[in-house]
Amino acid sequence: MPVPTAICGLWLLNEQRNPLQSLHLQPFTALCITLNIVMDKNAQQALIAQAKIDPEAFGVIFDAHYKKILGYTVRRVDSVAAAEDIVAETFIKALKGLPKFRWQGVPIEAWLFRIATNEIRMYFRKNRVTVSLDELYDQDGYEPQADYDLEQEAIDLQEKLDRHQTFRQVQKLIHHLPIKYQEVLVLRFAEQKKVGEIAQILGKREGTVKSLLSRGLDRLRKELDATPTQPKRPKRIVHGEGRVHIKEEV
Amino acid sequence: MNDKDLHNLVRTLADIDVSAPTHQARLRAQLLTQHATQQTIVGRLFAAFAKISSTGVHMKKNTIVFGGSALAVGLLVAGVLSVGIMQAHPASAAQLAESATKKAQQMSAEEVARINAQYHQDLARRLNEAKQDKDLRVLPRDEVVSWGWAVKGDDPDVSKYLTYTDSSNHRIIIALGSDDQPVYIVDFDAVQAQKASPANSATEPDTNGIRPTGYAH
Repeated sequence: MPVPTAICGLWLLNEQRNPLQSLHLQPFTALCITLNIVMDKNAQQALIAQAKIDPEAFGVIFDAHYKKILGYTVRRVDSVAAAEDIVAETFIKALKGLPKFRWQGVPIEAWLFRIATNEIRMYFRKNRVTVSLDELYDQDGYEPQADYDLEQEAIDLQEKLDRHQTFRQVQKLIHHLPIKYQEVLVLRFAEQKKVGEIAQILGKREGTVKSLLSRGLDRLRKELDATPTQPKRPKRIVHGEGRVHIKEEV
Repeated sequence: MNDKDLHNLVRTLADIDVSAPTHQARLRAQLLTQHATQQTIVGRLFAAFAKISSTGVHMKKNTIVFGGSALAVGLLVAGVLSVGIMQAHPASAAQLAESATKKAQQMSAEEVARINAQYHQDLARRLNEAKQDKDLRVLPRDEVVSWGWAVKGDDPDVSKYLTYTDSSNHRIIIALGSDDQPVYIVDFDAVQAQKASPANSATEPDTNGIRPTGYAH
């Protein structure tokens, strides 16, 4: 067990022994999560138990996972606004499900990814149609309350994604695949999850995940062959310390 | 394109740094407010309810609903409550809700904590008692339904009903969820005795006495 992990675990367990004195999450626990130090099973269990009674503990879980869940959702759906709604729904469901949460060995992160994956499935199933605000106003006289900061932020992020041609092309290609392949491909290669983690998130066996990955790649290859303008092939240069720099081929 | 290039192609989805700090901050504030509200209201109502229902009524924490009352509707709309109550009390659901709310408002945090702790002790005691009882058995659902007014046999939250006889010779029903944790416990004989009591007949609702009056999921 890595030293920081052990320290986090011991610290959390100590808090659990004195629950009345730890209504507020200890700064060290928050630091462990913020630094994304992998916590051991006992530490995660203790954090969940604390989050059930302490909003600040839930806030720490939220802070540690918001960006990951948002990133995953943005990669899966093509609209930032829809992704933000899905993320909100994911955390609201996590909060509501917290009292019923029983530790079964699935880490907090996998649990949140699982909720988000289900929400994305629902989003695709409902086949949501986006209606522009102008259209709404023309039809019903609906005038939304302006929330410029929030709106502008979503617009900026959307524009950033739209400017990235390869992102859009790859996303479009993947969207042609059945959802079961979209899920495993994005989780494996974009989110860099291991097969075991994907199995936990999707509630499937590892063998099934491997088979879905293999078939998903075959389907993706066929989609590529059928696409007249293929996305530029990325060139990945691995630097020291495992950092990857990507250059689009011209 | 070979497999490696395909992997890299999908990886390009992760090349953009995605962040939305305004959305994050607002959602965080909303969630934390909701969390605090949930803890306060549910915890207090739970304790108050446990206090006024001296017998026959048991429920798990965080699962209180007052069937048909305006309060329940309000709380449900607010998303505070998610599951239902077994309302096994002579008073009507609305009366119960009113008294529980009043009591909850008067109770101190220490009292709420004490009653909650008492409830959990009682739950543990009953489960322990049940495990040791030689007559412990699983109740078939149709039999549960036939006992109708005390336990709702088709509660979707319940996967299995157990029954045993406690030290006071009362029949106890334990409803377990899919995770084998108790959803609620009903002292069947205590409820029946309470129902039969002349003192309670005047306050019985017109739903044939004590019965679950509302579920919300």
